[in-house]
Amino acid sequence: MSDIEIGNKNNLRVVRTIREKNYNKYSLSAEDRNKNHLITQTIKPNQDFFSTMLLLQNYRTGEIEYATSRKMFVQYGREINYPENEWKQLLAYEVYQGSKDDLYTWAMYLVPKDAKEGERFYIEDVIDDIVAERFWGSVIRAKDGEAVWNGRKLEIDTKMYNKVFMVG
Amino acid sequence: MLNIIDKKIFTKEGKYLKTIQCPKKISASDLEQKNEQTLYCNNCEKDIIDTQYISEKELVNILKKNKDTCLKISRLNPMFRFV
Repeated sequence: MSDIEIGNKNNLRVVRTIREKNYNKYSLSAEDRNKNHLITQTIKPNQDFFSTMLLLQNYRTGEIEYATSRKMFVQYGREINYPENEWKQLLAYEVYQGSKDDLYTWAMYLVPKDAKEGERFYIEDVIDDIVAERFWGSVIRAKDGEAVWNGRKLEIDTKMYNKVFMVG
Repeated sequence: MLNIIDKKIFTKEGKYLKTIQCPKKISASDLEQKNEQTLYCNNCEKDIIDTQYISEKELVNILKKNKDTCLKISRLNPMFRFV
């Protein structure tokens, strides 16, 4: 599933993101460097995006399947079962459902130097893997977001992703 | 497919089922996973049915019995059409 986008519905000032993979000597102009705080960070995995998978083999047919568990809820309220007397567990392994491409590289936010403490910004490309929603076994990351400048760094407002679901 | 119009859920035949309304304005962190199909709301101390793991038929039956059943509905769920 693709990353979730909330859009800049509050018409906030935009914070740009530069990632290592897109960086070259032309990525930052002198004006960019002079007028912005360059908030750099390394990209580390978020534990919320790890999930365990099982590799199973059917004793009778030899068929191999992978599943999130022996009892798996899938689309439209269906349930798939892999009972121990029918399916042998070959492996249990972890998968990372976040953005793997950029792990262990760096990225930076360009925050305007005239940002006031407490000012809210729109981030078009959130650096960290942040959970926006969990759906049908997938953990879905947020592509964009809103954040508050605290004078040192941007604090992502994760409540903005509550709009992805309704409760009541 | 169920239609959601202005937070009200209707069957495809247009029968009203329930209004989605949470006065507590809860966030994801207020919800605990109780089992695959049920979440627990720490604010109301009440179970919430996670609609991603039930069928449309099951959901309609649940709501016919009790309109006050709390639901979590993801906007990614193709069982619902947001009008």
